[in-house]
Amino acid sequence: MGAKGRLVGIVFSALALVWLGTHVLAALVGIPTRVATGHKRYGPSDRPVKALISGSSLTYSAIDWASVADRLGMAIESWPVPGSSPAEWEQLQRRSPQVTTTFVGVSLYDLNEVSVCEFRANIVPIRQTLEDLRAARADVSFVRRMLNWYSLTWLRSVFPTVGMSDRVIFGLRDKGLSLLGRRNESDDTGAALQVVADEAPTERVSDWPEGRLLRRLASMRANQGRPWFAGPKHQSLIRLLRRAREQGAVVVLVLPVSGPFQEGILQPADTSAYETSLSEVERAVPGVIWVRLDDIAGITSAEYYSDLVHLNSYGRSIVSPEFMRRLRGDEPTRVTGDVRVTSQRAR
Amino acid sequence: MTFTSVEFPLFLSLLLLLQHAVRRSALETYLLLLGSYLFCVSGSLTGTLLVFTTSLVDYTVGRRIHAAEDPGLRKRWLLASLACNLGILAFFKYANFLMGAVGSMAGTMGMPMSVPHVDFGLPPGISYFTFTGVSYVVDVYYGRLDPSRRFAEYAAHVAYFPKFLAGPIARAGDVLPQLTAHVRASARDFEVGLAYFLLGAVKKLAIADQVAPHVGLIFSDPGQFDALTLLQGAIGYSVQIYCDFSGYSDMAIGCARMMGVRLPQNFAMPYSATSIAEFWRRWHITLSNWFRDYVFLPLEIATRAARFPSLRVSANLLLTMALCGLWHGAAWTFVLWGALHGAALACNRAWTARTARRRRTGQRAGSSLGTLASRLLTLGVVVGGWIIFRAESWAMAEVYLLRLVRFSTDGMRMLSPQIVVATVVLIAAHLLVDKDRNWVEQLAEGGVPARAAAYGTLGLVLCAFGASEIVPFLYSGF
Amino acid sequence: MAMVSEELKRVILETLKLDEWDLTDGTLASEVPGWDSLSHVTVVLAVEQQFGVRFASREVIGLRNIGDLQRLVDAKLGGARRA
Repeated sequence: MGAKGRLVGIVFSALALVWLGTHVLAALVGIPTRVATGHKRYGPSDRPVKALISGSSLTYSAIDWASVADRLGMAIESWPVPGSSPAEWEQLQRRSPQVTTTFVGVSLYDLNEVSVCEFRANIVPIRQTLEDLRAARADVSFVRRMLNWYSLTWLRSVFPTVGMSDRVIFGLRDKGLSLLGRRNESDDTGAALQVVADEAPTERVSDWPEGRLLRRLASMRANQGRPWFAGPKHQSLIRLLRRAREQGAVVVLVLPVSGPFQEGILQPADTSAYETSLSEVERAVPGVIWVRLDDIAGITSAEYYSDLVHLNSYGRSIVSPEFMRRLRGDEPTRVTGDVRVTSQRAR
Repeated sequence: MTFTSVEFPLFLSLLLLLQHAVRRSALETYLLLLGSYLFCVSGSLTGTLLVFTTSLVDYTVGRRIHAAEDPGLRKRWLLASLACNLGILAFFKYANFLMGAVGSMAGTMGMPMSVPHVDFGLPPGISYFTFTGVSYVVDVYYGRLDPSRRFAEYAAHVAYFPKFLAGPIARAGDVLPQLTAHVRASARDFEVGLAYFLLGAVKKLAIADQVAPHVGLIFSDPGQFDALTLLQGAIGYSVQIYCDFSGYSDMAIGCARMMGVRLPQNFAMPYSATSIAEFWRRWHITLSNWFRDYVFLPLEIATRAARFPSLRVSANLLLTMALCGLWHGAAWTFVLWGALHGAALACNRAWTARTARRRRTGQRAGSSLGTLASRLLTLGVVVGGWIIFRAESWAMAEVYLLRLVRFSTDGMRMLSPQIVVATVVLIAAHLLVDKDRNWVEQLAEGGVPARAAAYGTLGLVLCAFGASEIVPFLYSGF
Repeated sequence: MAMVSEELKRVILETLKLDEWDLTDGTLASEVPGWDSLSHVTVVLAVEQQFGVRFASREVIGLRNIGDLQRLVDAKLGGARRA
């Protein structure tokens, strides 16, 4: 065996070592080696599922869906994926062709194109992403970033920790702390893999030490570019709503995010770009019920959030009943459009 | 395109395959030239045009100087090339800085004037390829180097993609003969190249990019943090800039080595230095050698008739290092940082001159305690210097340093796990690795299992801790 | 081959404050303790003064080792003072 053969042997053994090591690490800190789409069902178990929730973890932290399903007397299902956005929901929507009502949760966080779901490349075909990027005239750096993500995902199918350094770092720290018999109190792991929590957390951002808030904002800023609301997610949302409209009634919940997030990450121009994108969607897909939950007085206060974007149990106890009230038309100026939701509830 | 972008592995493997296909033919130089220019174009079109222009000018000047007999003519050619290279650098990098300086000078002399602000954007690699050109022409002028005889070879050297964006600033004398000889990569070269690249990627992605967000946060508003947090920020930045820049250099050296080309070493455990002079022999070696050979020594020779020799050396050191600071960026904080290092070098020189008598034929009877003290003192100057270097303005640097030395406790305390862990890892590496040992080169001589284990571990660290979002290389901005 | 004269050796060692060091034809400046870029011109200046000669910038920059320096001194003196 010559020098070349030896080199090939070395490279392959090294790769085998990396393969083994990343799988062990992934198992240790709980990184999924496959896409983590679960299935969740709410409401009466004896009735067929007639409604779908399309939303990220923000939708579940804001709304008590079990009680919504009970109050509406409706069986609701969902395919939750951590950190997901319209791009992923559009694909997952195809799993529920039978539903006649669709609830869609959107927010400043979900619709911002620069925050990309970890599983985007697993769920959305690359052709779709490229088409949308072209249609949106995305700039080179954004296209590069998305392609980077697809190639990382491809690498991740062999080495599951690739591109997941935050999860590895925080996961190892939590493992270490639990070995020492302590709970992690210093910093949270970002969006935990558990998307759907039946109980919203009681933690308040307003109780955070200032340093922790700053650190979270800094890492959020570092992982993202300039906020952008007119790319693939925007186009996916329109297609998702059109399809949902063809299937039946559609309710869009516009969810709030925390004040610190808005002040620390966004500029006024970003917020108005977001509003523009929402009204474009509204014009593109008529007949959708829009429920603005982000204009509830004082709802951006840090005490209602368990992190920068997720509502805690205090926030949920305000937003969830308010959603029911507005949906039932207690505040008719807010809810316009389709009446079928109301009639279904009456039945 | 940078070394960590998604298309780079494709680019490199394609180039290596093509190079293999056209081996030992004249096409090889053109392939390398084409590949390098593609790399340049992906960065900026203006930059590419400038590389081509300076290459053409310097190549022509090199040949003319070599052919000219008349010393006056030779000097005129030299000055023409210097004007072209430094003019381009001044125009694109320092236009606003220079005009601002003129404006404020006029203001202090009672002639307030409004200064226009222009923004051409900084073409990538400009600080590097202009310096490469200057060193070539000066070397030819002093007869240290025969001029290149083929434009394609010289142009490939200047635009050579591994070193184009951020060095090492390799001299034509080192690189051109290798390009002319069409050097081949042996299996050993390829392995060492891969190992360099992997080590560089770990430094950049798993260390520098992980600490960058928190360092950025602390430096963005030093007034709101307590002294301990500020100390952490300064150390964190020292870790970041070392790992970022030496990581980039390692990747550059690795790429070139995979093609059989050896680029000069750029870093040699600089934080292990026991004096500031030693620090500069280990930090950004190709740049400090450049300033030594093309600024400091010519200055020394030109001023050798000065009356006070030690004052002369100190003044020249200060001037050279202030210019070196300015090279890093068009701001007074960089000049100040350079001057600080110049002053430290002058102090170091005065000190070693005082203690020189104690040197018995080169062996220093230094106690380990003394070594530790000098190491810490050196590190202190270096880390303090980085605060000035990184600060967004002089006012910020002042706030930072004052709060640090007063040990202010009134600010916010933020502990960054990333900075702490990265610092511990780097300190451990500096304690474990002999500063004069070239780890990568020596490893390739070891046994097969040791090599596989070492590369596997590096790969694992990269896959587990490599930051996935792209943070730009610090030094390609200079 | 030029031999390094005792006189040149003494000037160099004195300038660098060294008691003894083996200086031969091929010795590089960087091999001699204390002889670095900072003291280079000081050494050259001392040599110029000792031998009463003056080198051009180009000549100083072109020096590679002690043999070169010796040859340069010899050339300036026209070989008259070679012992």
